[in-house]
Amino acid sequence: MKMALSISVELDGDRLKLKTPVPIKVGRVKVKKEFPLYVNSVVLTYESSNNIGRIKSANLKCPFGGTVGKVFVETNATVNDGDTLMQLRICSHSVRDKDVCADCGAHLEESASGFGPDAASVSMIHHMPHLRVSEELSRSIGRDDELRLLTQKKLVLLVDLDQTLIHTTSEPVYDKIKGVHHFRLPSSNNAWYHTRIRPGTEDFLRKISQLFELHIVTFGARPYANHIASLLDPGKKYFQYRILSRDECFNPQSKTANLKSLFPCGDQMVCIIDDREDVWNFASNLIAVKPYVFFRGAGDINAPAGLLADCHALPASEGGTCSTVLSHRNPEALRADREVVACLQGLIEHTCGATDGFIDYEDTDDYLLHLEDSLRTVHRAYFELYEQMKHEKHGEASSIPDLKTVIPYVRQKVLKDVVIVFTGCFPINQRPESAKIFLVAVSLGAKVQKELSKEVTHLVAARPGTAKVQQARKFRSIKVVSPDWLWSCAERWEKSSEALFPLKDVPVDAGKWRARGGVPERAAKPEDGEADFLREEMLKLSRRKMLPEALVPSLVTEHDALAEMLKEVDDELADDDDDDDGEEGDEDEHPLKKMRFQ
Amino acid sequence: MFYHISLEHEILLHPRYFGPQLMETVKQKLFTEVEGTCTGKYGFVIAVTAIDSIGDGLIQPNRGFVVYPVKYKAIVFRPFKGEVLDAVVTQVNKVGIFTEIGPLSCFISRHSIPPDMQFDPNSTPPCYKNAEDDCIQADDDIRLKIVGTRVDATDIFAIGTLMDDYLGAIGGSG
Repeated sequence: MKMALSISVELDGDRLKLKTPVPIKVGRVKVKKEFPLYVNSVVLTYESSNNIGRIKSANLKCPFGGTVGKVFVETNATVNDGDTLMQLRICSHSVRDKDVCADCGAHLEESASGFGPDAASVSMIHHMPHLRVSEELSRSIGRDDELRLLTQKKLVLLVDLDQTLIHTTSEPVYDKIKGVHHFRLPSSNNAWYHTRIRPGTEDFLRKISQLFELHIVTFGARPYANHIASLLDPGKKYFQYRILSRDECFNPQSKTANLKSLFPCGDQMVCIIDDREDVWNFASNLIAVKPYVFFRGAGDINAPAGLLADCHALPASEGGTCSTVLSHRNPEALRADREVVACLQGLIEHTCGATDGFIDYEDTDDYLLHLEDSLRTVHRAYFELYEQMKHEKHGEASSIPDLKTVIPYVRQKVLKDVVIVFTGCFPINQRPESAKIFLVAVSLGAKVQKELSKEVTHLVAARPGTAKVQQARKFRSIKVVSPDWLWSCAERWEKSSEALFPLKDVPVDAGKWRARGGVPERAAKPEDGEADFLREEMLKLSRRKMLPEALVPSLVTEHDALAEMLKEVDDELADDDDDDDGEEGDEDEHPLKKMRFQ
Repeated sequence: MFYHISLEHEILLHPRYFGPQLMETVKQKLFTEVEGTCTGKYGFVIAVTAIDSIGDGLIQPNRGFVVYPVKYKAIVFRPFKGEVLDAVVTQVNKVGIFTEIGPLSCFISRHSIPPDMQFDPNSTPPCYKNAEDDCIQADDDIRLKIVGTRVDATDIFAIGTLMDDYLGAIGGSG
């Protein structure tokens, strides 16, 4: 006959008490002071005699999880109903992974009642959104992080990937360009990706990682982010596992939402570098980076859907360095591209005897050097302020400076004492305060005036011939510069030399110039006739046997190139009808084109 | 814990396989369809050891597909609460240690790591270490005890602890 004795435990406050109809004799005590007790684990073994007098030994299990305090029972002691076995601090379920409490092993979806919303809600680990910790614990971990960073004199830097440190395209690319990584990801329908790392990235990461703790925050998918991280940081020295990808982003169009989870104690020590300000909600601790464009005509492949890419602080470099993105819109273009490639190859072998057949594009992008300087300045300013605050409070650092105020402060020193007047930069019907170039000037600390006066130091003119340009010639003290001067200042965080950006006489493409002065374009749109233009150029070059450096399209000055291109387009349109995707915006300057449309 | 048990599975076959190699195809399909899968009840199917019987194929009306009921024996891995296992550390961070026991992933929270093992975020890779230079970092082998499992229809996931005798890093030699 088997007789089930209902021997169990119950919790009274923090005391675990025995519930038993008969006294039990303790065998072995299986818990230790200050050790965790897991749900449904054995507390002790015991012997008891049931009602027919037979001695039976069994395990006493506890349905609660927590941490053991004082233990009141010992081996061979006899315990009666209602006696206290031990103290138990019940588990607060502060860490949970996929609905299991990681501290006590309890299933939380079953016992959800009683644990309010404060239990485990913050996902702190970049790439494990399912692991959640309670706000209290996250704050304590966050505080530890903050203290560690302060003692190391480091700040946090969130780094964007696409167009900030790298440029990736999924368009077909000529496969023999030096410094381009080609890879395929299993999750992406076997599409090939071609990635070029921004020049100077390795140096930049090495130097800046001594001042900043680096995190990747990207809208790329997880496998893509991991692959790029392995390209940038093969030793996992800089980023380790601090990679946040699109898969973990709470909001598909903004990166701001995740900040609170990653930095529960606030983002005072967080600095951001990104080429897009909109995804960060134009945060003041963001340093807008000049977008890196290497593959001409290819934008950001991971740009958030539904957001227009028209609000950038800095204009993209002129159309990218590499023009060998093979467009395959039609067989015609493909054939042209092949010819270009064949032509390039022939030229390379002919002129410089390249043995491996790889084309090495000279990439003149040196933005990261300037960015490094800016970040160093920010870092220095932050810790100067920190020391100052610590000093004032006699060594007690209860509050720390906020980068959201430090960065604008540093930036406003760039054009201190500069007074700017704009001319021809924005349409008459637009409020100047809403123009990007105006905001940039103000954020750099410059004063903007409407009319010329004695205090004015700079006239930023988008085109010559305006009344203000004429007027400014009378003032000796006013320097007349093109808008590129201001962009350059914003890019480098230093007052660029005005002599480098004189106002150009640009009668041919005035429309284009004006457009660029007002709203900077993100990346040059692929122009029709580009392939033809390139082929033409190549042939010319090969005939003249020029040096291979001349291949780099960016070395062909913009003016000449544009004029040449427009001429090509016009010729093309005049005698060729099947090629009419058209160029936007420039119709009024081209009588030929106009005639054709009539 | 590992078990050697009898299981059943139904193979759905396209008519294009009807031919001399039919039975071979059924066997191959069984291997690819069941090995590496996980059922909440039996755990992870590690390997099919024997195919006991392949029943009569039933042609599906209107489709032409045929269904074969297959009985087979397989080695399965079913983790239990209280089981002590050797695991490989996949990642160490400020919240705890992530490990893998073959197909099973297991998380050890900081609460379940001996208090003398402190997280050191400054070392590369980051690790938990104590005063005697015992260290747990990524790719290390550790011995842990499972204290909780979560069993889904198609996945099992475990919570582990290092707070018991003889648990923790397993000496480098093995």
